[in-house]
Amino acid sequence: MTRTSSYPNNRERGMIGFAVLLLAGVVIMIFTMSFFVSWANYQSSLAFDSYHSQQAEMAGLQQVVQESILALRSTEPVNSQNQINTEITNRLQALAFTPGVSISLANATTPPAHVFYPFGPAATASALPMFSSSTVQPGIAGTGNRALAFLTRGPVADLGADPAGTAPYTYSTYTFSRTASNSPAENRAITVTARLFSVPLTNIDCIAYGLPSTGSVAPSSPMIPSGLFTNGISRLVTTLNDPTKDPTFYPDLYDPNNPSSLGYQYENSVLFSWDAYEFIWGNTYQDALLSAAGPTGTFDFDAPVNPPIAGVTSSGNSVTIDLSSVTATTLAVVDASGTGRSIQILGSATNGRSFLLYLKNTGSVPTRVTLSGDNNRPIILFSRQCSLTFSGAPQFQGAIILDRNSTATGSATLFGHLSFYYAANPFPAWSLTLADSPSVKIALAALAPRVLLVSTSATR
Amino acid sequence: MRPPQRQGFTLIECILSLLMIGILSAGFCSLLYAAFATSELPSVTLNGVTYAKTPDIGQMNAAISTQVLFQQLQQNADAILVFGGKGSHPNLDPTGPSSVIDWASWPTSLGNGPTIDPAQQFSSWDQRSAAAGVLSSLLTTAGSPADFSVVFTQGLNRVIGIAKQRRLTATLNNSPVNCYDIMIESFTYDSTGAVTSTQTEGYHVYYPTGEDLWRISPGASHVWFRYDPIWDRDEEAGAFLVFADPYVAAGENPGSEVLPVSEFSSYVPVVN
Repeated sequence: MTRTSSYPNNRERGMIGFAVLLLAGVVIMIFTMSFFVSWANYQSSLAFDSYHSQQAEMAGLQQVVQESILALRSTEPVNSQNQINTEITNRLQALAFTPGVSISLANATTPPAHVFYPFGPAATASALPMFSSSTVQPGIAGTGNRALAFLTRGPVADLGADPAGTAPYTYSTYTFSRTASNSPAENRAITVTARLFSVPLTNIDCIAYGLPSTGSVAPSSPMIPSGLFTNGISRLVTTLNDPTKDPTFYPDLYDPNNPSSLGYQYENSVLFSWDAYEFIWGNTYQDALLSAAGPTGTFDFDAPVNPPIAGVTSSGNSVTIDLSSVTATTLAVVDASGTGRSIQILGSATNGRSFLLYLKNTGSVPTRVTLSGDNNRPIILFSRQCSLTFSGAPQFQGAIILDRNSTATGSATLFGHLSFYYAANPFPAWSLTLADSPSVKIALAALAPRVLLVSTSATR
Repeated sequence: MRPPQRQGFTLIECILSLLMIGILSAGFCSLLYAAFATSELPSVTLNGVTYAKTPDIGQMNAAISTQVLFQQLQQNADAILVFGGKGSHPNLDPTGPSSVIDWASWPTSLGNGPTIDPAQQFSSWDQRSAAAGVLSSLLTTAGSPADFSVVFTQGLNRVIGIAKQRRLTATLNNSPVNCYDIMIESFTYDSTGAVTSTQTEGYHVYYPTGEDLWRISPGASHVWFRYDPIWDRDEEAGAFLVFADPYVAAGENPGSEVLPVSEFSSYVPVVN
């Protein structure tokens, strides 16, 4: 009898089962291959992302250390009295890390003091080789162009270098502990090393400064006569990134909701062209200048009797300063009213030790100051509310730092440095030729106000 | 006594079953390929260089090694100069593609020695004239908008690394494909300034034309703060770089509203 059922017999079932088994094997193999390829790619991407985010963390820690040191040591109007670890920890707490990641400060060294005249003797200039494998004086290449642009302009003191040039270089070192709760293999120590540089402000040939706290900052760069900035003249102005006010600014990165924001790459420029001048014209520095001049180095128009001062002669409301005869390191002339008073400054035909001349007028009328005769003795002239007139087109070596109420006229050639408040632009009334002079910068460095630059690097 | 009943398959049955398995397997393969796009596909050899069809896990690993070296160079550089792409100058060359460093040239110095102005390294554009002694003979017309060169410098003139991307067009099986070369070289110097070692990383991939139309196309896009030569503020903020991605974004539909992006996209500032 023949079986007529439609159900497969044992042989047919076996064949189908075998086919299904083969098919399942192939499918599983393909799925497994696909899974592993995708998994490998996922893991590779994950590892790269983790590396990438840790690089960002390290960059953030560099910035934290830099800002913390500046909070303690820079020439800002008010410096923090905290310890460095407190400053760093405060900034760390403001950072947001990847979920599960925490970073804490494990070890911190106190950064070196940043002292300059008249608060104390300024650090001597360092050799600053661009490339060096020396453990005594490492090269400055690698500190970043935001720092290099200021380190290559003149004499600079590297505060980590031994002035005698014998002891190993001292880095300010900060160690952080990174903990990743979801990936213990990513726990690691991150070390940030900082290098501190004391840079004389006079290293920059011309600065149009702003006063963010007591005045304002330039919306756009001030107009200057054609030809003032020839090749080799370094200049600096820091304006806000607002295309509605600065025609040179492009809107690529403009944030209309935060028009005053500046990128971090402007930090050093701000230190030089904003913060330093808040400090210079602030009470701390001004009082220190008068204190440095002292009773024997200060001529006060309103004093009943002034002491004899080398290089200074007076007649009624007129004072004459012969720069070749001044022996003081700081000479101050104080004029509380300005009305009817004048100062004659005679240049020194011969070279000599540099000194600091502080002309202070606190009245309502600027003091009239006339400068004549070539001056070959580098001086730093602080002009507070004075009207300078250059007579006879003198060639003048030194730095001229004008406050917001000072003016300048006449014709002159300045070898050295010029600072002016952007809103009190002395040009075009002043016919000035500006010349870069490395020797004058060196001569002024010991007495010049200074800016602290911090360069950091991170390793893990 | 009857002989035992035959239990094995006939030849016809075996052939039919294998045929059926083959058909089903091919269907699954093409389904999986569409879903995961991970199957091995032929490579292309062009000018002696072998380009892997994306996606390719081997080139993906090479791409990661390349990017890690790129980031290390970025961290150690004082200035990062980007040539090529669009916006190399906001007025004079807003759309590009601007010239790039010749593919065969890997200079180790910008050549101007101590006279170069570090402030001018705030702009890759200014370097074309500041370091013209070296760059003018090396810069060449870009072959495509995706081409760019990144020069990592230390100090005033030392080149510590160069990264390049270029796109070449070829035809494979009568279909156009875009071939991407990404190469990076880093240089190590001794105390005398001589190059002591070179590290090279790179990857080579190709895409059927149209598959590399990502949300942000491969290439360089310069971003500017300002151009103020009077006050020496020719300030290029940086450049947005998009490298070819050997894996993640390939094969996506460029017509989709949500376009993929290359995983290897980064912003580099001109100055560190």
